[in-house]
Amino acid sequence: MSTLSEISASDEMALFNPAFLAILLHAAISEHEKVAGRGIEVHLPFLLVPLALHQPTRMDLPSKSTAQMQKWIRENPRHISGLHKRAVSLRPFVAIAIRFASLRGVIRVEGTLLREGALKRRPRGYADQETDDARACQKAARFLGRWFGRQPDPATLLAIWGLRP
Amino acid sequence: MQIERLVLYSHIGEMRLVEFRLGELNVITGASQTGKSSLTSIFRYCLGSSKPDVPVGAISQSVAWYALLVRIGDRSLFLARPTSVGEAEVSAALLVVEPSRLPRFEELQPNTTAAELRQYLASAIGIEENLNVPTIGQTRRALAADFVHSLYYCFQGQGEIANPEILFHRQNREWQAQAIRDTLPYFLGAQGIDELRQRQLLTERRRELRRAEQLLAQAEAEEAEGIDRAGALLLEAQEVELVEADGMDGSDPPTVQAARALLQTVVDRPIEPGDENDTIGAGFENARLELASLRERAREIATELQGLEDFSEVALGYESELNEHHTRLASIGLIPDGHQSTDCPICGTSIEPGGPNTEDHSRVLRELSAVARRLELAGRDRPRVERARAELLAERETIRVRISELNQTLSALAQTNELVSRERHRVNVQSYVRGKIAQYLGSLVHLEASELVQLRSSTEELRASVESIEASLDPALIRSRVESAIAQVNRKVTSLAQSLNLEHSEDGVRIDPNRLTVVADTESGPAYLDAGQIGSGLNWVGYHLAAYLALHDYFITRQRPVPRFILIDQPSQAFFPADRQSGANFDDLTDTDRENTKSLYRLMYDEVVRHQGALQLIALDHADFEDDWYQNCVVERWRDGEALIPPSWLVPEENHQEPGAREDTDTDSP
Repeated sequence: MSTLSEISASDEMALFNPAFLAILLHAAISEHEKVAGRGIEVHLPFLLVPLALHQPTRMDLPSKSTAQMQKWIRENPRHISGLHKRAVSLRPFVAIAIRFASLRGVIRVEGTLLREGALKRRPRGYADQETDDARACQKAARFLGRWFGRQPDPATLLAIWGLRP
Repeated sequence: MQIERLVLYSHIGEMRLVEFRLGELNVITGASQTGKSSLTSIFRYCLGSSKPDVPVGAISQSVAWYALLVRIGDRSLFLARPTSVGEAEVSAALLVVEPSRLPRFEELQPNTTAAELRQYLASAIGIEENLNVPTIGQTRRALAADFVHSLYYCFQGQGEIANPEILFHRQNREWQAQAIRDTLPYFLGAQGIDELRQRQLLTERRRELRRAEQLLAQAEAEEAEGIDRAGALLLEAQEVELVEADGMDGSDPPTVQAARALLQTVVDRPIEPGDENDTIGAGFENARLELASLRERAREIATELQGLEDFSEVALGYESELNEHHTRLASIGLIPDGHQSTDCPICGTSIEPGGPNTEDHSRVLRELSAVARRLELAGRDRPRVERARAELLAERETIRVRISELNQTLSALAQTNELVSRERHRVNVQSYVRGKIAQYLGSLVHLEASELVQLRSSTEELRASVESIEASLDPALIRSRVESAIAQVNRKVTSLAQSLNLEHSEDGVRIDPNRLTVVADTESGPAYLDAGQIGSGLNWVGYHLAAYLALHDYFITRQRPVPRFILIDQPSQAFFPADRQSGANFDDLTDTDRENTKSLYRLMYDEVVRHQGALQLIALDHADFEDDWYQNCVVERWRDGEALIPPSWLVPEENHQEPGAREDTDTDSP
């Protein structure tokens, strides 16, 4: 498993830093638990994070988590086309983030499921420096957590999206 | 002029004299090769020709100086020329007027030139200024007859007297025939000194007439259009404000005099100095320069501003990216600090607190602070860029204001410039009109009425004078005078020819002054000597003699300026076969021929006697008639060793010389 120290590009380092991804994970898992009543499969973050970080995909996400996933996938092939590549390139970051988050208690590990942990309270002025983009990522993460949570069969979820574990 | 003596000087000072008798027939009888035929050339040389023209031989080698003693009127002249070297022309000459004795060899020094000698002889025998002007269309220069031309009538050289093709001496040489033709009128007296004077007078009168006519035309023209010209100029002067518009009374048309007087005042007024205002020009130039440089600066500013814009754009983009990084990194602020030992959900191994994960945390923190720093720096740039931009904008504004000011200044200057150049133009135009007026006034001829009448009448007089002179100089007039003179000569030619019983002489014979030959007017038409229409031998020589004697008779009677001698070379040659050169023996001739020859001599003798000393004839011949009258005429006999050159001269020094160099008949080469 790669460590941060192996990643030298500062852009990627900053943009996909484990703290941020941990926040996203926390947001997604939190919603997922509310809807599904249980933790998220451990492999699902590897799909969820690329979706949440990709702005064009975010723009076209349905407004309700009750929307038909496969129908949406069929109707939005362009968001699927680059998904695999993005997922692959983000994989190490996601892995580091999961480990980081679990170490810090942001998420709890229960077998193969990840459950919501705890975040520190927002420091003063945090919201002021938050960019729209960062806020949008978090909002998308929350939606995706709900959407994934409503799917009946999490095992086939990856496959539906065209990814292999 | 007649010949008294021929004098030859040898190189060592010996003198050879040949004496002639004035006013008589002189005969030099001699064998061939005794120097007879060189006499023509020697005489001509002494009389001023440029070369001795003596063939190389005894004469040319042994003679140092050639000289003639001539008599003109009652004066003697000694004319001497040094011998030449080879073919060179000689101009040296010696002239002694009235020598008391013949100069000795040592005294022979040139004191003049051949050209001056000729001049002297011309005036000595009385050739005055004369001029033969060719008629219009001919290309010859006007020829004045001079001394050389008089000699045509004084020689009949070998090959001339018996030559039917030519009549006159040297007639067959280049240009000489034309010279003879041109100068004959003068010697006949058909054209003289008066004519020259008349010609000069005519030229003068023509010039005067031309001037008078011009003056008259101008004065008359002015009378006619006087007021027009002055009036027009006056209007012009008003137009350019040289004259007050009401300076002239519009009602009465002004007289010429009044107009001219007014114009004169214009010319007399001193000229105002022009307004030299060049400062306008300088100001103009400065403003233009400043404008140009400001515009340049404005362009620069625009470029700089654009650069700043571009930079800002990039900077903003950069900043927003940094912001993104910052925000995401700042998430670390939400991550709790404590570690929990747990299993790695991915690989299942136990995650120990510390180790690489702590590194992750601090790495993020480091990155966060680094990004924060970069943001700060970028932020610091922003105000600097802003300040620069503001400064540029302010400067641009200032420039705009200044440009606007300058444009106003320039248009104001341009207006002033316009005014100045208009003023200058006005002054120029005034100067121009003033000049025209001055020229007009200066060219006025202004004659009173009485002067005009006088001018008219004097012009008429001049015209009449010119016409009369032209009439008297009519070339046709000269031609008819020549014919008249020739007619008198011809009467004599006919009578002499008849006394020799020459062919056609009974029909009447004449000299044709254009064709330069003798022609007989026979019943069947004119018979020309040069066309072979008159028979041979006696007739040829006879007609030559008749012509020359008749001419001299006329010259003597009319006192024309021609030397009074004729040198005739071998009248008897007509009777010798053409191929007989040396050793011609007179005794080989037939009796008839001999008799004919004698009759020629008799004619010459009789003519000379008749002229009572006015004419001198010198004949050179083989003939040696025994008759007393003939023997009395013989002055030299060159036979049996006697010749022109004394035999002693042919042995130059006491010591030897190769005989082969001379032309002695008895030589043996050693």
